[in-house]
Amino acid sequence: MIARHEKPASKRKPSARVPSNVERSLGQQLKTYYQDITEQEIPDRFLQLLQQLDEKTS
Amino acid sequence: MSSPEFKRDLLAAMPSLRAFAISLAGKVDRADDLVQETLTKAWAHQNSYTPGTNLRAWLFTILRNEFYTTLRKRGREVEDADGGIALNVAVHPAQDGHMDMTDMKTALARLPADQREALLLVSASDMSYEEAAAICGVAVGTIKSRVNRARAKLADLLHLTDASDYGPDAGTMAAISTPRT
Repeated sequence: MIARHEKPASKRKPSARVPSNVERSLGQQLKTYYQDITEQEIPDRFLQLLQQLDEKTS
Repeated sequence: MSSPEFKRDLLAAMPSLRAFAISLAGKVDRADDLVQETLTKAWAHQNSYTPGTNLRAWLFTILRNEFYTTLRKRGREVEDADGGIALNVAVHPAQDGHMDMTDMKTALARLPADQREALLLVSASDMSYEEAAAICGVAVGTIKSRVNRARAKLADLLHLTDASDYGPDAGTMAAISTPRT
């Protein structure tokens, strides 16, 4: 079930860090974006799926 | 762990699992297929989960493996360098959201998948570098480097590169600023 996906080291470029205030700003924007998705209602299909799985095993 | 407890914990992890799936895959319908597959596999393999360990990390690992398996099957069409993925993402803007969510969606979609997932795990999902490394099956240093590159590219795409534009409250300012016209 576990697969590995990694580029060889030779293909990696060195990475510079962004300034800390830019990093903070990005982090907050990402969290806002993410929170918006997590606050959406769980689609019924997943509740039904869990119900079905539960009934099959019990 | 009994099934009721496992089910309860799966439900609790679902919002963040789905957020990771949507942000990673771009399209909501594709993301929900990934979540469905992940839940089915998680249920079937629940004996291999050690109670008390990080269930969210365990689920994320399954989901990202599904994502890459699907990606390989579908080929390059999924990786859309022009941000075409983002255009199909249906995410409702926050009620009071002054920030332009479309910008973040578009920018995320333009990152290479390995950088996107590293950034999402560390900066959005609150995983540690170590947890992110375990989920992606790479070294911690690799995750750090991918996160740095992802941040640099996102900052560029979102025009946040000029540090002089931002004071100590840059984050707050960005969050409350009105969308660009």
